[in-house]
Parts: sequence; structure tokens; C-alpha cells
Amino acid sequence: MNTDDLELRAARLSRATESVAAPSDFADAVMTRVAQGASQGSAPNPIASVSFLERFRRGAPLAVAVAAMAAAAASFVAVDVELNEDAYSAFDEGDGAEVALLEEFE
Amino acid sequence: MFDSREVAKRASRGDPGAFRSIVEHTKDRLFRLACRLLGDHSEAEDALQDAYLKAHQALVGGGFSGEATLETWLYRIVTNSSMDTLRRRRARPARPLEASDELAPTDGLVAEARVALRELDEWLGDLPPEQRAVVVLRFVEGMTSGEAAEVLECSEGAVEQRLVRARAALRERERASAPRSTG
Repeated sequence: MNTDDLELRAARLSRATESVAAPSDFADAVMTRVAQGASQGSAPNPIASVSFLERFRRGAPLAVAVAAMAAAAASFVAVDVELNEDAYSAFDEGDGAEVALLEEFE
Repeated sequence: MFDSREVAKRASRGDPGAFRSIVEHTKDRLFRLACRLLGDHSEAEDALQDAYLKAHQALVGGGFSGEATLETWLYRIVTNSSMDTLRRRRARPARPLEASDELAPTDGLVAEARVALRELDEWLGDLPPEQRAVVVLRFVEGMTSGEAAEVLECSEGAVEQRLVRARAALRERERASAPRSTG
């Protein structure tokens, strides 16, 4: 698939989905859940993805979980944390990239 | 006129009417984004509801700094919520198509759009969520690399790198699925 193929196909699918809109009762549903959430008083991290912690539960090293919690805390206070793509990818492949990941936070 | 900065300020003080106006003003665009990221309107609905809940909690808790615009910030939360859904989906076995998946009319979704969402999902389904998000943000949503980088909280270089990998993966899959010529 060359560049034009990818962009043309994406543009076609973009046009074909332009009419997608939220269901008519969607705002009511959200506000109901907001009201329920407010009465329960929960406050999870609004931004950070939980994927790192999910990985930890599946057996990633402790150091990686610590780094994940640091990332979550940093994003919560709106600090600009920028992860290196290679660290992400290597981490995905499970080849000891936790070192690279930790270096990103140093 | 919708003044996002002013409305966000009022919502952060706990004004439910202000938050509702944020939802009313942004829900269609964000629902479309979630549908394009997930290729499934039911999952998109759940992901978007979760995203609005997180946004509300963050606003009330002082988690919206105002560094990004309200819209970019909401795009970021919806994209993260959708990527979490994609990761959960990858971790469990594929669900077989059911009769209810066929093209029955759905509120806010015409048949052509449902077909297109399914095609989008099948086309990008094998990509890791980060690469899928980049393809959707750049070429389906029509963002620049800079805008996509702001939503994904990464550098423009990382966006470009993910695009290169996504193109390579899509090209490889196309090659593998192409019929072999017999000679």
C-alpha cells in the first residue's frame, strides 16, 4: 500500500462516516452518570492510560510499574511527559526496554 | 455563542449546566472520533461516556490546566479512552458477528456509515492502538502531525514514526493477503 492508497482510502472512509452523530439521548445519559459519579465521590486519573498497570498485573517488572505510576502522576498535574517511541515499541516487545523507559523519566 | 474557556471555568466550579453545554457542543464530533477509532458504535458510546466522566472529574478536581484548548483536551481523553478499549479488545478473543451486528438502523448512524466503520475496523484492526490512532487522527480526522502530537502527547517525530510503521504493517498485510500468481 503506497502513500496515496492509504490517504485516499482514509479520506473516503472519512467522508463516509461524516454523518455519524451521537444518539439523541446521549447528553442525558452522560449527565445521569455524572450525577451518579458525583454522589459516589470517585476521582480516578482522568488522562493517563491504564495500560501500563494492566501490563504490570500480567507480570511486568516492578520498576516498570513504578515508572507507570510516575507517568500517571506527571500527566495528572499536566506536566509534559514525552515518551520516546522506541521505548514504547521495545517495551511492547518485552525485550528489557524498561531501562529505556525509566531513562525517559530521569 | 459557545465560549469554551468560560464554560470550562464554570464547569470546574461544579455548574452542571455548564458541563452539559460542553457535552451538547462536543458530543457529535467526539462520538464520530470514538467510532472511527473503534469501528463500533456501541463501544464508542461506552468509551465516550467514560471519557466525559473523566473530563468532569478532572474539571471539578482542577485537572484541566488550560494549556491545551478544551477541545484538544477532550480529544485527548476520548483518544486515550478509545485506545484503552482497543487494548482490552486485543487481550480477549474475537467476538463472532451476531445478527444484531448487521445493518439495522441505529440512532445517529446511517447504513453507509456503519459499513464504512466496519471497513475501517477491518482495515486497521491488526495495528497496535498507538498506530491505529495516528492513522485515524492524521488521515481520517484530517489533523496535522502537530495537532495529532498534541492529542497523543508525543512529539511530531513520534507521530511520523508511528505512521511509517503503520504503513509498513498495512503494506505487509496487503502483500500477505494478495493472491499468489501461479506460473
